[in-house]
Amino acid sequence: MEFVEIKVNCTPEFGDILQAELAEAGFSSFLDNEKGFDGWAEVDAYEAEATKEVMARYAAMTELSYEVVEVEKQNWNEEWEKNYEPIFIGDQVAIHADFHQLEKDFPYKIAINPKMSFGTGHHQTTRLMIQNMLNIDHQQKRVLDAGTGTGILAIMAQLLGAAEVESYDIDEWCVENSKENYALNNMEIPVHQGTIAEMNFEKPFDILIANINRNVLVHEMKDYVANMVAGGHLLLSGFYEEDIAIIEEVTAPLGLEKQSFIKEGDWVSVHFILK
Amino acid sequence: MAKEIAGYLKLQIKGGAANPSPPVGPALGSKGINIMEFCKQFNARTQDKAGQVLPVLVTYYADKSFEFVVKTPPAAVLLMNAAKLKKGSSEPNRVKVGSVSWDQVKEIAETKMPDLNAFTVEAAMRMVAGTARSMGLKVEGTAPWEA
Repeated sequence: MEFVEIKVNCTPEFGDILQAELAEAGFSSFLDNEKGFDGWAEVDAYEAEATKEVMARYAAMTELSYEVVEVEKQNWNEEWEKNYEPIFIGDQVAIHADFHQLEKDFPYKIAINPKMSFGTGHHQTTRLMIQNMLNIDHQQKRVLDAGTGTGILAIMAQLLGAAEVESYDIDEWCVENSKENYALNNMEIPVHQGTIAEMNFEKPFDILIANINRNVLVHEMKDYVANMVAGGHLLLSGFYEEDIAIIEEVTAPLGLEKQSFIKEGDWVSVHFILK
Repeated sequence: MAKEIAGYLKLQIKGGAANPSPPVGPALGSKGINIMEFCKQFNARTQDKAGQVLPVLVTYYADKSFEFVVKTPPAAVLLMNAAKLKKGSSEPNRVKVGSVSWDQVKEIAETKMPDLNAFTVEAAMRMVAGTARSMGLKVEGTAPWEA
């Protein structure tokens, strides 16, 4: 079991109140429906006694009923994944599922079966990162893909001629999914589970790529730099153009010099070099 | 031509913390929406409100695309923060375990104005004060309109 689900029948005026109260008992997300709402808590965060206490307290003043059930994690993205369209980045890169037939040849072909992991090329940030990677010499370089998701950027680094590629992700499913995708592309890329602070790499990297989000990147920047060689490249994405100034507040003191950024919509990918 | 709307979903998710777990996974996934893309967008847009429970209204279309609007935090959450309560009253109508001032009610009402069905701040304050009482919170002092 991975989650606890509470199904609550209540009047609309108590919906928000109960959700606010249940958020204190470990429930982190809610979905309204015609009868009331459903709420979900991760097993470790769920407080059974606190939940009972909240529901008993409000049952004394309004009509409500509820039940708590256990939910297993599953691939909820399956519906989208089985119909997704291939993505092309200019004439250079094609990203496709193993069931797609490509009509023409591309210099770089990446097969991805996503299984609830991020990185299929459908999101602007993945495409921006790949465009930035195409402009950096990967030949004989050591590359780390931080927060690898489907493993798409690690695969791209290998296709671009990197000598060694490593990857990690905090999420168990991403670790499993990236392994499947490395095999699908006939590659053997090590993938670890955890955060950068928990990693223990033998040697620093020439190129570090991280498409995560602003808050995580800011928090982990020091650890990225600790794992990079002087003169190494850092490619970041997962945030908006307006976030660059916040990112630079942590990169500049660490000796990371901004080279350029590219954008698509509000999203950007920024290239730094470690001085 | 406008896209064909297939439906709406109202969720509450902590800012900066959407992931493929429920409710995002089952709710959006069952409609054929790419939940990974929703999570990336939601987290980037709410990263300054990390940890706060935020209502989000998702519109999904027949072509599996989606749009969403992030609303202000629920009045009940803002009231709990204002009263610095971890848990509410054990008997809401009798035992007042926490209190908020009318100034706090006004501040919350002003925050909530964009999302409330209220034309004036006073009307919004009455709604917020009603929510406070339902939670067992005492609103201290005299309402501005009674002073």
